[in-house]
Amino acid sequence: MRLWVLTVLVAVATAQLVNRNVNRVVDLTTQIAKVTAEVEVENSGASVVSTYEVVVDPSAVKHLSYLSVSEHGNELPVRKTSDGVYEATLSSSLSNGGKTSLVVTTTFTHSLEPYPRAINQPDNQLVRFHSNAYYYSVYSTVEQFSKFNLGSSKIESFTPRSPSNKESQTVKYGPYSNILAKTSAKVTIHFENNSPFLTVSNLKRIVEVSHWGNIAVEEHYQLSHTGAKLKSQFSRLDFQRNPIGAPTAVKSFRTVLPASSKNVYYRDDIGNISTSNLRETEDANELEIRPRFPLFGGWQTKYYIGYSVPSYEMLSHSGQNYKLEFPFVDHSYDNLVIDDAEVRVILPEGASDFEIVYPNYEITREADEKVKTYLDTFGRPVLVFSAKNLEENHIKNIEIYYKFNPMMLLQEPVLVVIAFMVIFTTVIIFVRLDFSISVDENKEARERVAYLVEELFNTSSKIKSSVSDETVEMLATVKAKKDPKHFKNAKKEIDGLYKTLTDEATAVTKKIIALSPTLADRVAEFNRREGERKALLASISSLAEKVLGDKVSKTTCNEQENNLLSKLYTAQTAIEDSLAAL
Amino acid sequence: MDLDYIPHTSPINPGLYSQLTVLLMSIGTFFMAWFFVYEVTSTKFSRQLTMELMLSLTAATFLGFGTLFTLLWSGIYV
Repeated sequence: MRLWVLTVLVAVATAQLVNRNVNRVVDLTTQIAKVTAEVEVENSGASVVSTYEVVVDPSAVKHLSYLSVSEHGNELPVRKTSDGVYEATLSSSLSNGGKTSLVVTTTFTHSLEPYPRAINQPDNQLVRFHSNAYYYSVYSTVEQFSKFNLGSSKIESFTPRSPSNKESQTVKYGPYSNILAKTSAKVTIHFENNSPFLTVSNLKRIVEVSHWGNIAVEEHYQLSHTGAKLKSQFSRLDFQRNPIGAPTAVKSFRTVLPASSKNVYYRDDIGNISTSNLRETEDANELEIRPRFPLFGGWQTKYYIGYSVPSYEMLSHSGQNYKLEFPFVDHSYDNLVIDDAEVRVILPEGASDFEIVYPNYEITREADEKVKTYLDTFGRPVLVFSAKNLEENHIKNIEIYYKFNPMMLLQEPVLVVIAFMVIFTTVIIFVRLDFSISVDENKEARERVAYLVEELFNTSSKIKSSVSDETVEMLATVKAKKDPKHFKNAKKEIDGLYKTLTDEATAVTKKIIALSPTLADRVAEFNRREGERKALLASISSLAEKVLGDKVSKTTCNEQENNLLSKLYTAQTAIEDSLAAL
Repeated sequence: MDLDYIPHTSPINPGLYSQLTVLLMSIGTFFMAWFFVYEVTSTKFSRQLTMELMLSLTAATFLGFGTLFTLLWSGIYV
């Protein structure tokens, strides 16, 4: 009851408005019927009105794709109240006698019906358009005039409704005066229309975001020719012989991609479709798509295109808050019609707290999904959206806000590092496993001795690098500076080091002899040589002491030094030789 | 939502992906080679776990990041 009262009230409130003058242009040159109605509205009632109701002709509601109302060039917010009924909020309320002019734009898809339904290859396509001779409105209309642009002078017929007439490429209805609200007068126009009747029956658009600086877009198309069906068989001969012999066939079309797109591809189930061209212009990349076969009425093709866009084109951030902004659907061909669109947005792993700002048309958000691609562990979140009955006017941006911790970017390389580490650890473990059936004592002993000799060699070279070289250096410093304190410290340090190293060496040599008595001679040889080195080092340091006490002249010192150094060199070579012999 | 949003770019300039790939992969390969040479030449007695772990960890780190940049360079945006 209350609802009924409300309805009546609304009806009374809206009935105050009057369409003073309506000028309607219906563009039928393409496969889409685009209706632009310039409406002069006046408030003839007493109360103030702030909304204008737009009602779509009930017979055309199922074809309605897009509706917008603008006032003086500014688009007004439109709210859908029920099927085919929309309410636009005016920029300023209209009081008694107040006037404004609105432009109501509506587009209808699949409203041009091919008639005859099937034609032969060389035939032109004729279509029928059913419409209303009057502007359909909830308000009464004082003056109105309608013009149908057909884009072809071949007009088979049109329903006359006086005054109405046809001109070269147009059919005109009106002017009519004082038409009551919701008056309908069915008219049908039958004319030639050879524009491409292409419909994307199913579009699957995948936008994959990578924070490493790339956004990959892939679009899967199920494309059909929804014009008059091809009646007979397709003749390739006729088609090739006469390029204009098949006016309704769609040979190729143009897809406009963003100017910054790169790595563009056009493929289908078989693979790359090479009959395509990419033209790069300053403000867009144009992809000329030429399917593997021309499309005739009733034929269809399936393909997908993809490209990459640098992330700064669509993605922006403020701290850990990210904003992804991209067209919900994009241009696929001029005057496109999309029956079903599904848009899947793959966000990086770890993205959360999604907030979405939709463009001003109906988009359904489906349940979120997870997808695992390269280097993922728990899966990337996928936001799924779907929409129906779209056309060019729906190429509008959708905004997705989300949170993402940039540290999550490190997860991917760390994952690879761990994978490599697993391989290396396996190797480390594998080399420690012994699969031999019997223990080869000899071999083991040999290896053990070899290891000890290597250790001895290392110790010996350490003696050479630290102790022996340091001693020589000490002598040089002493000669230059004659600093007794420095000499004392250095000598102490060197002696300490030498002791630990020789102790090490002795321990190792003992082990070697214990393991392999046959090597005793050679070890003894090494020890002897090492002793020689020790003596030489001692004489070098005593020389240094003498230099410090000014007990030798400079020349003798130099002579002795040279002598000792060459002996040391020989001794060291001998040590290395003895070790090599081991 | 009323935040100042600035365009998002990669933390590492995509122009450097190729150089990084070559650099990191060669360093990683070097350490990996060293590691394997060490593994096959050392005996039961001379083998040292710390040395093995250090070599493998260095190799894994460089190869890991190198692989990531290889993927990014080749257009697999992970």
